[in-house]
Amino acid sequence: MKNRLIIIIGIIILLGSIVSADLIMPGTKDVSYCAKIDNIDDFPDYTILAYNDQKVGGSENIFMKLKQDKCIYFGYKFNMVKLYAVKNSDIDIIKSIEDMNLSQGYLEPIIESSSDFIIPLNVDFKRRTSTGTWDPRSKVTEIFTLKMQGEDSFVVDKEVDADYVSFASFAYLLSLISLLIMLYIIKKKPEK
Amino acid sequence: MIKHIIGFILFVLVEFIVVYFICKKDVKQVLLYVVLINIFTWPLANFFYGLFLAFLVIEVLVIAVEGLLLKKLLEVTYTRAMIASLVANFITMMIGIMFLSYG
Repeated sequence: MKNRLIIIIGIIILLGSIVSADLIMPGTKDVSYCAKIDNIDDFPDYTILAYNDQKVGGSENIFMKLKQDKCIYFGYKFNMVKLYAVKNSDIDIIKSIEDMNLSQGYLEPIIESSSDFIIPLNVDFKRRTSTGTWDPRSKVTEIFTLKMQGEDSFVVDKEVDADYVSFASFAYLLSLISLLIMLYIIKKKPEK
Repeated sequence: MIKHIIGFILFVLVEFIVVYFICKKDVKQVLLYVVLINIFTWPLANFFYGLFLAFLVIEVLVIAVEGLLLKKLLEVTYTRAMIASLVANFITMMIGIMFLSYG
């Protein structure tokens, strides 16, 4: 009996020495994120711009033209991205933006002083770059669709798409199968 | 992925040993049920932990669910099943915490 106890304790210590801590308290993993607009080409009279307000790592702000179905560049994770629609007829604004040296780009004043031409788009990015290790999602894609409302404003619809990691999905499937097997066994047991 | 599988096998072994000695039932039955129970609870516990639910809350839920399943599957008393579940999960939790602290 004493020997058996020693063996068991030995096995537990041995197993414990191999087990990595994050197996029981897992950390987080990166989830790639993409936000895109799927119908920019439906509005040839407008240019859609993303303004990347960099809060961390410098004062450089980035303004860029968006293309249909291309992921928006977010830069560092704490950055705020705002979207705007600009009428192509207001070419001066577009040109001044394009000609601007980005390293000197403090664009908020331009946006504020051009509020008649630049239409803010109300877009809610649910950007989360990390999640639990066992979150089955490997990539989240937010697809925005623009709809014209009146003459000078847009509403934005959103759909969320996700890619899944096969391992986690497989584990959840096994979990469900295991539950069903156990329920079956319990049901088959004779009542006492 | 291989890390998760190895960890799962090791924890199942630890829980099997504990449950076997506390419940004193057929060794094959105990092994089968412990494997099934852990296949069921392991991914769910990890998933909910990933959602940043409090670790202890998850552990308590796991202990309760595993205890209930042990009682039904092994046909032991509630007390014995809950003690087995508590001890098994406590040991695996301590191993995890220990190696989180020193690892």
